[in-house]
Amino acid sequence: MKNFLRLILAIILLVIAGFGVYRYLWRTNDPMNGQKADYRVLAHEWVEEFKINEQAANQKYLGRIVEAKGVVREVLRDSLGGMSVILESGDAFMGVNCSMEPGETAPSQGSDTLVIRGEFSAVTLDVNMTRCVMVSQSK
Amino acid sequence: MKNPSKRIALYSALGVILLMGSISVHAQSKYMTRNGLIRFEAEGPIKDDIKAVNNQGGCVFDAGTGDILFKIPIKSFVFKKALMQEHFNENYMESHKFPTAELKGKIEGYSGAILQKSGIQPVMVSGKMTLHGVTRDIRERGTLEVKEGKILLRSDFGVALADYGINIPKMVEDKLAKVAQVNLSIDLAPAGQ
Repeated sequence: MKNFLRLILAIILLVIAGFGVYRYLWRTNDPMNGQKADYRVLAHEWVEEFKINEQAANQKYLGRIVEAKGVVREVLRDSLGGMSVILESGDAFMGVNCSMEPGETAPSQGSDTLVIRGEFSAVTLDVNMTRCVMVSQSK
Repeated sequence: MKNPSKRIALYSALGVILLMGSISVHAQSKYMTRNGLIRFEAEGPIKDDIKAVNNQGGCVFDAGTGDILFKIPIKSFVFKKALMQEHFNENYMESHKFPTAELKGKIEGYSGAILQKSGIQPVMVSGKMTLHGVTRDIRERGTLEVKEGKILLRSDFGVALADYGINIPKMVEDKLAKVAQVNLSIDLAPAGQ
């Protein structure tokens, strides 16, 4: 009887461990909705920070979760339907480029102020954030 | 690009491409995008769905000279599996050290006349590609098409991981291809629009 209980316990532990390993290997990215921002920035100030010292700004923000606040310069769609929202920075060439998570609703363009949360990835023509979600949109 | 002087050099290059319109043969010669699409697949003999998409390629094209500058943030590649994305960034691309990849090149034998032709035109792009901190000469085929006021650039090519110092651990060498297949899809609109 004792051996039988041990066997059952071993099987249960094995199933739990197997499930844990499966979940770990096949997990998808954590939804950005549930994550806490490491930094909260204003789009125009953030871009300026990179223009002053890109190296220091990269070290500070790379891989961090950032909430950027600003108005929409434009909303872009790629050929696969992926949406990017560009936040105005006051610089004609450089904005905050937010690659939105699938399923995010396109913001209305104009004077609305958006707060977008995402992971900072790098500077190219823009300051880029990936896996972004809309936190708020207000007049 | 950690060195501020490199940053200044990039802005100078962009400035030259974007601002010196007066020497161009075209009224609107600068085209750009900030959401160029890059896809890659690196499936080895054992299939494990190793593919990713990145829609944050920034590209400037000078339609007067055929010069191209294309830069992508490595961390913006999105995989289905989070673990794969972590390994890609931490173990292979080391995106904390090398956050961007860059292609600086030119369409060979370029003439603005190609923009007057209808349909898809074959082109050859040569230049330098920097990936994982390693810069190499490249020469790849692609196509160019002018459609509804935009210039559409497309290219499929292979990138040998070892050429760029990307080492594959023995444990996963059956899962990962030695040559990643890359697909570029870049829709360029006139700069400033």
